[in-house]
Amino acid sequence: MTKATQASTAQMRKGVLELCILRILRNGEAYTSDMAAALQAVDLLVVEGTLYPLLTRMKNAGTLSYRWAESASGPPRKYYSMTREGENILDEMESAWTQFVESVNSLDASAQSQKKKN
Amino acid sequence: MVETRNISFGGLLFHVELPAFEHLTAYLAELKDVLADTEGADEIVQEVEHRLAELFQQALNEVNRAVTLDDVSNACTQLGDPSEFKGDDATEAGGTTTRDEQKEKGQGRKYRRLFRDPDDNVFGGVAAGIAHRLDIDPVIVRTIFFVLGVFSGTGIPVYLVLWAVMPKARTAADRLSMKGDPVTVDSIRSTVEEQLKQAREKLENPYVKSGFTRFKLFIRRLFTQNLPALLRGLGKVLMWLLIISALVALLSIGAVILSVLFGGVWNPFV
Repeated sequence: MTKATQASTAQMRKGVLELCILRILRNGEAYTSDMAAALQAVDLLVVEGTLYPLLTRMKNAGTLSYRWAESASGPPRKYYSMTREGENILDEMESAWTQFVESVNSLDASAQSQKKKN
Repeated sequence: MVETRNISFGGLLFHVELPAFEHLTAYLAELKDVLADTEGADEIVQEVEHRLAELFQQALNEVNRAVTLDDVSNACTQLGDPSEFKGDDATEAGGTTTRDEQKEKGQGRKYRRLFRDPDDNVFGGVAAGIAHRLDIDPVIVRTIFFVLGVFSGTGIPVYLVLWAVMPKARTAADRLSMKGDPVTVDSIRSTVEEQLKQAREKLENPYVKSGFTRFKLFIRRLFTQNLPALLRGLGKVLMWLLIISALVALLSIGAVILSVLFGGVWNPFV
C-alpha cells in the first residue's frame, strides 16, 4: 500500500470507528481492550490507545455509560454499554452508513455502465 | 542487579525497575502533553493507567516480581504511541502541525545542560561533561586539564572544584539534555537500553572500562589525535579557561585587598 492510500485508509477507519463501537456494544457491555481486540481482529484498529479518547468523548456526550467491575487480574475494569440515546444514534448511523456505501458503490456502477455504452 | 522504585499505579502496588520507571514516566508525560487540549484528559489518563497496571499485573508471576523495561515497553506498544491518542475529531490535522512545529523548534535550540558524564569518565566525568556542553571531543578537554595539571598545577584544583559543583547525569533525561537531545519516549527508551547494554558489558568484563584504562587510552589517543580538531576545540576551551582564570584573578585581588585592609600576615602571593 502506498503512503497516500495508507493515510486515506486511516481516515476511513477513523470515520467508521464510532459506528463500529456501537455495533459491538449492541451485543451488550464490553471492556475497552476487548473492543480493541475485536476491532483489531478485522483490521479496523491499529492500537488500543485510539479508543480511549473516543470512548470518553462518547460517554460525556451521553451515547455510552459505564460501570466499574472487579477484576481477578488487576485494577477494576470499566465496562461500557450503550444508552437509550446511543441506540437512537446507532440507528441513525446505520442508515447513514448504508447510504454512504450505496453512494460510493453507485459511482462505480455508473462508471461501468458508461464504459459499456462507449 | 537493578534498582527498583515502589509505585502505586492504577490503585495497585508495583516494584518497577528504574529504567522501566523512567520509560513509564516519559510515556505518561508525553500522553498528558498530547491530550492537553482534549476534553476529559484526566479521565483518559486514569483509564490508561488502569489498563497499564492490568498489563503489568499479567506480566508478573512468582519468578518475576518486578516490572521490567520490556514489560513497560510491551504494554506501551500495545496501547500505542501517545500520538495515537490525538483528538479523534476534525481538530486533528491542526493539532499535528503544531506538535511537529514544537518538535522542530526544540531541536533547533539543542540546548545542552552541563552535567558530569558517568558513562565516559576518567575520574569524575568532568571533562566529558564539559565536552558535551561545548560539543567537542572530550580528549581536548582532558588534554587541557592534563597540561595545566602537569605544568602549572591549576588543573587539579579547578578539576576538583568542578567535580564538586557539577551535578552528575543520573537519569536518562539528564543524559539526553546533557547531549542536547530532545527528551521523548523514544529517546529515553534508546538511552535506557544503551545504559543497560553498558552495564552488562561492565559486568562481564569489569576491567575494560575502568578509569585507569581510560586514562591510558586517553594518553595514547592524545598523540594520535588529528591536529585540526584539537586546535578548533582548543580555541573554545581557551575562551572558557580565560573566563575561569579571570574569576580566579578577581578573587585573589579581593583576597589581597582584604589582607591589606586588615593588615593580616597571610598573603597568597608569598
